[in-house]
Amino acid sequence: MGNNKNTFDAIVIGSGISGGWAAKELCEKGLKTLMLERGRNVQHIVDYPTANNNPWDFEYGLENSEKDENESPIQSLAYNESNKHFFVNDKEHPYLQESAFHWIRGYQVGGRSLTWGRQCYRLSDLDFEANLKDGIAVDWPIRYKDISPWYDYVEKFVGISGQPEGLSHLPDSVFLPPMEMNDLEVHFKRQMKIKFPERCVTIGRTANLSTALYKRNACQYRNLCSRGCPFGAYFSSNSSTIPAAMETGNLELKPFSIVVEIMYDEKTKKASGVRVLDTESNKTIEYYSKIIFLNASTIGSAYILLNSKSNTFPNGLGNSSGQIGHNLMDHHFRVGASADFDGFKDRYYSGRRPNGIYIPRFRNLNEATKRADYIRGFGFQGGGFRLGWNDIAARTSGFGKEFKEKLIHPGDWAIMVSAWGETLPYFQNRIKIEGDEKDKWGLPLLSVQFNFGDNERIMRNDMKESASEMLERTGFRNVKQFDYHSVGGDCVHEMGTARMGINPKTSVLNKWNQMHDVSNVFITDGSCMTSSACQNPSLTYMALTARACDFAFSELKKGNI
Amino acid sequence: MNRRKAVKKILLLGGGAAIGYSGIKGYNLFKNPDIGLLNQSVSLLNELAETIIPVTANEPGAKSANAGSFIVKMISDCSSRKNQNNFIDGIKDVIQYSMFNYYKPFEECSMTEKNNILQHFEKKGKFSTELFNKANRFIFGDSFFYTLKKYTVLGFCNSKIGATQALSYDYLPGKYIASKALLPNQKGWATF
Repeated sequence: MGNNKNTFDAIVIGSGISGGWAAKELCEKGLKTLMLERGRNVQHIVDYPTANNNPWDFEYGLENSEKDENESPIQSLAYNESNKHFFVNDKEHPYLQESAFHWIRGYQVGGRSLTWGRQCYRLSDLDFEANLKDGIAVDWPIRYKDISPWYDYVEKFVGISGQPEGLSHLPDSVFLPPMEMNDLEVHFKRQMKIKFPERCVTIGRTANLSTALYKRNACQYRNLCSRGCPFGAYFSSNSSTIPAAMETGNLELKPFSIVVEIMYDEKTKKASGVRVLDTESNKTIEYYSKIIFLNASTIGSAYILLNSKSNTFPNGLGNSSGQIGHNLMDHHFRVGASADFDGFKDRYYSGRRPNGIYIPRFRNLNEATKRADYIRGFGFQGGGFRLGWNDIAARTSGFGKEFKEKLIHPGDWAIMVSAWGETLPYFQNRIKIEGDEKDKWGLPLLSVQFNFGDNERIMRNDMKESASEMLERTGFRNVKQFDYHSVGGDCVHEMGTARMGINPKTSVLNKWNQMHDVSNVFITDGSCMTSSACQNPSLTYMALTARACDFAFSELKKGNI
Repeated sequence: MNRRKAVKKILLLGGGAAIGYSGIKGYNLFKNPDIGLLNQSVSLLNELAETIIPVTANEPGAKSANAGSFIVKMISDCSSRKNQNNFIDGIKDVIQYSMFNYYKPFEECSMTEKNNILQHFEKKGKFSTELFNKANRFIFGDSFFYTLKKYTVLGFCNSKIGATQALSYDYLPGKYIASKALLPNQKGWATF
């Protein structure tokens, strides 16, 4: 083992939404923990340079410059002028696309927890049993009862506002008070109850504080979350888990540290530590620990494993199954319908709610809702609003006084519902690092191959049709379907490259997110997902992380790892 | 027909033909854009923007928000070469069209004349069916009028003057009120 200052009880690789949880849990259990982050540090509040800007404080009206779009053709799809500093530069961080895949990344402390969409939904046994029932891929090694108390546990700290609905297929979280629906949304909910009594319309479940929690303030309804919140009113590693871990005195945080590989000790049959490239000094440093939590993101974690070669594991650490890097999933979305509404001309709202409405999955729940043409399902996110100047300008021809009068007054009411659909795990959707091309640090370039399948394509049609059907039958006019064709990665819900499973021959992780092959390595980011469900996945990563930390600590105490 | 009118008619035909062609001259879409002319056009662009969003009894117009400077910046830094050329060619066309038809620069035209000129460019910028418009935009880029209107609106509504004096701007709402009565002359929210 190396010298003392490079030796820790635990190493956490990555500081995003799951890495932050690993650090908090392990530190609170008293373990001396090193958190490694490949990018720069981002300190809560201090490093949110645009958080208090007015619209006129930006040069380009919150649009992207040609220079930004040329240098970062992928990231600029996801960012704008106000939050681009939380996304990488594509030129500096290239990867290869064998088929179109938009890999959106934020290399900094906090990772993408700074810019995430904050929607939080539990998975249920409908999801955990799905692979087994459908004979798809492998079965999840856990069921809802295994994770349910851990959802409770993390939700109490994250702070999720939402409305209990008592649905078995979308279990309620431990909620802070729900945000309110506006007049049109309430109307839609009531009409849905009459026209589609079996479908639920609820307020979005979001990791924004509707009331203050611990040291974090309540949401101020600015809807500028992705710039970083100076009130700490949404959950991020920076606002929540990292400060909690720091408070224990057990955390050491090292930014600018690219983990090149996890080192494997052939004698102990365990990981001994990690080899890090310090991007400030360009030196290689080794750190050692008893346990390692790998939380470098679905694609990042698979990369590190594949790049960690040893005599025992010539194809990557813990890859005896050959599954690492495979079964890559992302939700398919950007499809739905919008419509206009003629009433409520005298009603408006104030404040900018960083949240919308949600219609939980209603397909393939049981025999009555079973589809003949596809399996699994989708949920809708959306909202009602009065058209603002941007929409009014796009819809109104002409110019001059009359145009201006329309532009500066509230437009008519409109509604939009957009679907997020489950994607099946396909072995051929994968990343690999087998080519000769290298990045500026001499590390092999990652290459992605990803395509949606027939099940997604057929489902997509129903996503569109069922959206417009609901709007038409609930009394909206000018109903328009849309399909903006997402490609893999667009949803930024990558999952599945180191899946959990019962059988070590066909999966990478066991039911505790512990590697089948290497007992002191735990992986609790999106790569562990055995299926994608259709819910926004981050909440599940958080619950699995807390659960795995509890298990790892008890195994450590027992001397098992 | 007096001589002046006859000359005008000939010029107009020639000018019209040239203008008609500039929309489908594929070969010049990627030429080096005349950024020099663009930078000299701030006051013209402010007048064009003011024609789109004019000052009214109670609210300022686009000129007071200096939408012209914003448009120049957006064309210089945030537009494809194709759209830069379309827009700068459009500036040239406006200069010519005003001179041919009203014998004076656009800035010196009356409100009615300015409206007539912009109506001409709005009509010229689009086909009668949306499908053609989409295909046209995809191949040839955005029309002059489309871009002018888009950036006038963006520049005005995001400016301090536009957001706080023409629209309603709430820097720190503090709470969300889901339902409230619309007040008389209620302005729309500047940010969403």
